[in-house]
Amino acid sequence: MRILIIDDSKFIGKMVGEMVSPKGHQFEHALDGKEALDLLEKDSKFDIILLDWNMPNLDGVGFLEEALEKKLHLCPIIMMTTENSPEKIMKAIGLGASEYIMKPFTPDILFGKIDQVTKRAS
Amino acid sequence: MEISEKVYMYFADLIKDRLGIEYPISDRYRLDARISTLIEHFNVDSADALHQIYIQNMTTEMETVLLDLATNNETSFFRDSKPFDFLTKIYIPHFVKGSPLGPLKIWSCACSTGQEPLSTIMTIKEGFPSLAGGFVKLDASDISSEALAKAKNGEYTQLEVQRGIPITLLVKYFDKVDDKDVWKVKNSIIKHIRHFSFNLLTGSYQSGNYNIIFCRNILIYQNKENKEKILNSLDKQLHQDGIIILGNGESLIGLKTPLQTINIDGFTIIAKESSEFWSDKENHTKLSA
Repeated sequence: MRILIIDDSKFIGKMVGEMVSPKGHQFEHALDGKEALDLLEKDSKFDIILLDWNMPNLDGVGFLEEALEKKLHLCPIIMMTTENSPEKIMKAIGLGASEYIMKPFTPDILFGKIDQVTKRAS
Repeated sequence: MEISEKVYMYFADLIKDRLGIEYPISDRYRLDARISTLIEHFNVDSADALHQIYIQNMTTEMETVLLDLATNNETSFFRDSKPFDFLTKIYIPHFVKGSPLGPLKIWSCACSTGQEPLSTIMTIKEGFPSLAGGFVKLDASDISSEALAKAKNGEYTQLEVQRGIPITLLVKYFDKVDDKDVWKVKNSIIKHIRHFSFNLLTGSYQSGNYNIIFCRNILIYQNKENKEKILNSLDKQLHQDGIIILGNGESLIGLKTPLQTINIDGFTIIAKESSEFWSDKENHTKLSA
């Protein structure tokens, strides 16, 4: 599985990478929504996107809005953020996110969510 | 922390006596961890000191704490999706067709901190909204008073709700507690559940007539005699065509019970041997179709 992590924290990118690599998954890390959109224009072959909310340049919601506007047919997107109000969760789901992970989280939660969205997509 | 074999066996025997759960010395790390927790809880210096206070004056509170720790409260929402898929795709459609007047009676007989009954109600609300309005009676019991108190309260940490609940169900059926990373189940869900304390080995069983009994990951901790005792008691609580759902790896193999094992589309259920419906293999085929 190829996973794109979009998060302005290098620590989170490294931590999630260390969680998924031993399972045989490959991952790329983009530091904001704009960098991720640029990357996806060149290479869109990802199976899962893990998307932070608060980032410089283009935040998670901006990324979802641009993806909708550009009619990009992206793989399932899982929000991965400290934002945990029901209103914000519903906003992200309304803009196309498939699942939602609230930080902090543990590896079993990450893999459980990945499992949920891949089962739904299949 | 050094725990002598004598102290270990004292607690292992006490737990076996009260709950029937066995902690063999060959697998001692499971109980060692719990004894260490007790040492911290009662703020004593050693396992020997803990042993002394238990043998000299075991209060009800001390017994309750020990038994709470001895029972396995590890659980999560929608733990193993197969039972919920079976209910949604096979059992409840059959039930609705066959017994449209209801009610559907379900017993989660070792509900721990409440995730199993809540997952069941959410499954029914989502798949069969008309059934949830009074046609479902869900009983939830556990031996652990601490676990049951949490189940009744219906509050879960952010980590707990993220284990198993799809996000759309979380925001639909739970409220976020202000300024805390805690989510509380809505009354519209928990009102369907009646919680009560119950010991499957020593409790006085009432007439249940349940359509579905969840008894997952309980038998695995019991010896053969207790497994048979529990299953024979559950049999008497079961509707003639009701089913028991056991945990993965739990089975009737080697046990004397009036029950039979049935496999429908790769999912194993337990039913009465005397059930005409479940004894007719044509019905299995019909349900699989």
